Amino acid sequence: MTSSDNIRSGAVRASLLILIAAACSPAPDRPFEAVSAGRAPKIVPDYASVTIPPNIAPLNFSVDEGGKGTVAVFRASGGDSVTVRSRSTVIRVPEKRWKRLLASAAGGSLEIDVFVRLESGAWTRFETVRNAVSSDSIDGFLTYRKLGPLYNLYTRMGIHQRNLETFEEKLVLNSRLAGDACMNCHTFHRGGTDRWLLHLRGGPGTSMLLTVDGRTRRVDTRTALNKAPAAYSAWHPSGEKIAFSVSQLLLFFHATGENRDVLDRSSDILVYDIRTNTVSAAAADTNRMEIWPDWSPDGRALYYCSAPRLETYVNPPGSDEPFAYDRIRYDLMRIPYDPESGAWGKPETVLSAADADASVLEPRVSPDGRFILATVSAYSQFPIYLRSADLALVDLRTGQWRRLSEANSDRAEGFHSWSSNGRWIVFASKRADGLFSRPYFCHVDPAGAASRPFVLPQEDPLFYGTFLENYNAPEMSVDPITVSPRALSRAAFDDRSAVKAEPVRP
Amino acid sequence: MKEKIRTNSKFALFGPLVQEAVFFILFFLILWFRVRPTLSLESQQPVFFSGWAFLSEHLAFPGGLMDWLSAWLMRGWTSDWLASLEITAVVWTGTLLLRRWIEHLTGFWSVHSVHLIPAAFLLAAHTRYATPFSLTLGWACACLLLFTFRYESPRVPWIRIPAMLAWFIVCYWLAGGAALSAGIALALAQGLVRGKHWEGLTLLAASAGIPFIAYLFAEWSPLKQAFLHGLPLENPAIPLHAAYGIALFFAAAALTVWLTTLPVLQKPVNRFNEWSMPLKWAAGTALILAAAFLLHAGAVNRFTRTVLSVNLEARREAWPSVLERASRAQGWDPILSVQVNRALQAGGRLLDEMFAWPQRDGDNGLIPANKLCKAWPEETARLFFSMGLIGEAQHWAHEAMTLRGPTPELLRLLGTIYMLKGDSAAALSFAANLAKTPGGRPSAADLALCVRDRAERDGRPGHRRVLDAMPEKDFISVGRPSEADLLRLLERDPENRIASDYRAALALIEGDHRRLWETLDSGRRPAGWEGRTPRHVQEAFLFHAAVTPGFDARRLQPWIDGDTALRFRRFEETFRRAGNNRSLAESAVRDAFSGTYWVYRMFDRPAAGPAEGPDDFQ
Repeated sequence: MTSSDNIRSGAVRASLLILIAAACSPAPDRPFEAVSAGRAPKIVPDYASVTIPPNIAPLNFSVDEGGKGTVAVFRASGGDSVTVRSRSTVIRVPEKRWKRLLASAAGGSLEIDVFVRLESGAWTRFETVRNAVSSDSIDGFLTYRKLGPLYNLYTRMGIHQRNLETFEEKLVLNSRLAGDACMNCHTFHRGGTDRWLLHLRGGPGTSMLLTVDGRTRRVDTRTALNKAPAAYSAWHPSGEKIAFSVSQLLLFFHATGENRDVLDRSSDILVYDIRTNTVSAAAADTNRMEIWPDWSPDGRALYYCSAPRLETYVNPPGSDEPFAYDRIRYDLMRIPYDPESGAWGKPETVLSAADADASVLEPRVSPDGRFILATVSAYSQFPIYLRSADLALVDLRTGQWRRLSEANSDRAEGFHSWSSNGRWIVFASKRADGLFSRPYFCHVDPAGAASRPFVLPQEDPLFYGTFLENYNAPEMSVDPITVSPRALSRAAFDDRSAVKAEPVRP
Repeated sequence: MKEKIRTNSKFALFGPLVQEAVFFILFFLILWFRVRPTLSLESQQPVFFSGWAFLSEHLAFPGGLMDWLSAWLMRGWTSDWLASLEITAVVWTGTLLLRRWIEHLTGFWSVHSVHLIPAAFLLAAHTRYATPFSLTLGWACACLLLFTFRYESPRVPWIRIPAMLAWFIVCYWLAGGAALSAGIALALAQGLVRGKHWEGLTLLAASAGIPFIAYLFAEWSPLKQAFLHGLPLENPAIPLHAAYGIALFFAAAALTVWLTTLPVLQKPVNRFNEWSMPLKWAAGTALILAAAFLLHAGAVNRFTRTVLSVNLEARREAWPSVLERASRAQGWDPILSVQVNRALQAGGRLLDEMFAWPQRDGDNGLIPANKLCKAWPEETARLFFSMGLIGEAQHWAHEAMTLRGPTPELLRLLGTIYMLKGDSAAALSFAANLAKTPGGRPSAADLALCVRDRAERDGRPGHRRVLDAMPEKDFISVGRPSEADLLRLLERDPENRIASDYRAALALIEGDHRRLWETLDSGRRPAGWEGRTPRHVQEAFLFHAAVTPGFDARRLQPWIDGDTALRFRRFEETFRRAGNNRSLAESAVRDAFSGTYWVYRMFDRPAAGPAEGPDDFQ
């Protein structure tokens, strides 16, 4: 080695040392002599007193207490602990250490001690934040639609799938790949991804994009029975049939308060049979509007929501408003079904709007068949635009129902679903700002008691503060979606594999 | 040829520079005074946020960095001269690099005129306001790629080719399709002109293969984007000749140089080379200047320029300028009616002068219907906001954000709407985003202050006016705001001058003088009419009295000026002279009474079109 090489090598080493030193420059020291604040810290997102799954991604947070340095000490009930130091207010826990920590806390608790270094250099210690870690795992994946505050126009929307154990998010399909189509209502068969669907509006053709055993095709569900295409779908447990609603919805606007509202002008529930490619009526009373279907786990009953037809609510000419939109309330109904013969029984009311003093919507039956998680709102069939929308739990064993006050806020909640083991629910909530919905999770115990909800963790804990899109229709699944965005796009545009459903007349 | 140039070495050295200086001074002046790049900003409204998240989104696809840079730079295009200077500087730099590449390729010492052709096409492209700056930046990046290929080091091919490929990939990721156009030109240059066939083939394969590989990795991106993004070919607003001119120039230059080396063309080439350098320079300068000007002139769309100018002035609330720009319009569009009526109202002249302007769009030009709102949602939102229709303003501002993205102007408007509605968290969310836009921090801080401090919010005159005007009681709408909605606004605040003026203007524009009379017959003068009745209202009352059998003309007295009454008598006389025949009277009436309600009511009022239904919700 020549002397110049030596010099160069020395310079490189020195530079590396400086770089390493800069990267590892001392974060604030552990504040042993901190003064107690006598209260809990304000952390964003609010991850305090929540119950979390043992397989969730790190709950990174920001401490909204000012200061110029933060230390967070995480202690698992199993004995493991992690200390995170930060020069800012943001606490990010490395994924591997977080996993170890949760494994140690599963079935117990996770406590967090937060210390903040004030501008003066002194340290403040806050009261311990205590969270429970359930031994019940959550499904590994969450699929949602991301879109702006939806009015009439849309240009950019996409369905994405998030790995709940990490921060990885993958695209399922976006409007660019789908010929600027609107897409909605992704639905999985029993929380799996062998059979699932989503709906397209416009673009390559208004249709259902149906994936069965890894193969996707476009199905035009419009038939002589139904001019409108399928929406709000539910898979029969057999995986061979899909109940869906067909609706004529109208977006209208308020002069004050929440600006948007939706009117159901007419709706019915039909069933698509995958084997025969046929559509038949399920709940299609001409005097009623029926919407939001969901099957019982044994496939022997279909739950849905029903209200008298729109004409009932039309105001006389000269009235201030053309229709009494705020009197339209839906009952929760059930109709027996014989999967062998395909015969329907007589509809019965599970929870009437009068008893609930609310419109009962979006029923989702728990995997064990004991509960229905629904939304109750002052009126309407589209609760996410209504501040009054709350989650409610109906106990099918006792017939009792209650608002799920543990999970609700003073803003809209809705678009909920169960995990495959029935111990977790996810729902969209606008509690943060009243405008953008975010996915929240709650643990639900076998008796139906829910824990305090927590928002889907993000790598950047301040992410939600500036994200101008909604997380719409969050649905959990055990497995990831294996069909690539491009394969879905190809299927959407493939006219050869596309089919048009045939009607089955009663 | 080389000998010839050497004898004119000073000229060869400075000639192209002088030519470029002349060309680019004109280029700059045309941009500044004729194109006005501020209108490109008005047309495109690029979205830009500071921070890694926004940058990383753009680094994820080829050409994204140029989009990012373009959005950032364009956000500063609030001054025509500065923006023109920016564009000129980038194009000149690219042109210099291009000249050096062509000089290297030809082996000549001096290249002039030819290298200015892409600049002429770029001028034409920028004349169309939908051309993003990223196109020019990408083109300059492609020129840099060409320029760097002059250096053929390292000399060992097995190191040089991978290094060359790596640099090409970097440029492709920076500039997208623009780099591909340079890649193809380089392939032709290396393979045909320089005889390095393997290098040429490698570059050609890379130009075709690398975008395809990028497409395979970027799952969300269509194949077309991998090849075309960054090229003018993907933008239908750019004139076709300019789009192809920019995209194909590099390859055409390489091919031309190769053709001149063919023995069959040696004779004409030599003959051309015998021309004196100053002569060629002078002819080239004249030609390129003429071509640039003609390309620019051919790309001018005066009507688009007027619409954008009017919208820009309306956004600035420079109402006299709105009227001045609109008065120069060649052609008309309903949005011009909307902005002109708004400008007239802001100047307190709506009910006096609205019929001096084209009102052929009827009520759609006053209060836009659904289709027009969808075409101009931000402009609509601002109109409704000024009236106090805060719900409709919110609706259309959100639609605008869907179409245009979260621009600073929309973030500010939406933040203000939510702040006035008392939705503090939503308002702060918009303020937080506004703080991440270039120069947006002060506005964001101000918005946040108004959210947190109610006294501050209520104390601002602009806020106070909307707070006083916005409805307290809810009502719903399924289409555009109606007269009933304006009435509700007036019930809330009888001093709401805009609602009052628009309500009267709506009756006038619908030709419903009866309604106007009946609503005002109570004797109570609406806001702003103290002292005198607006001219068009007087005209409508006189017309109403004349066509209503048994109308007691004395009832008009409190409303009518002597001048207007006299003028109406002359109008009636003119009509009588034509035998009360509408067709025969038209010409004379138009000549003598243009700009009156009478002419509008009798000849110009558009027939009512089919009502626009509301959209289905999906």
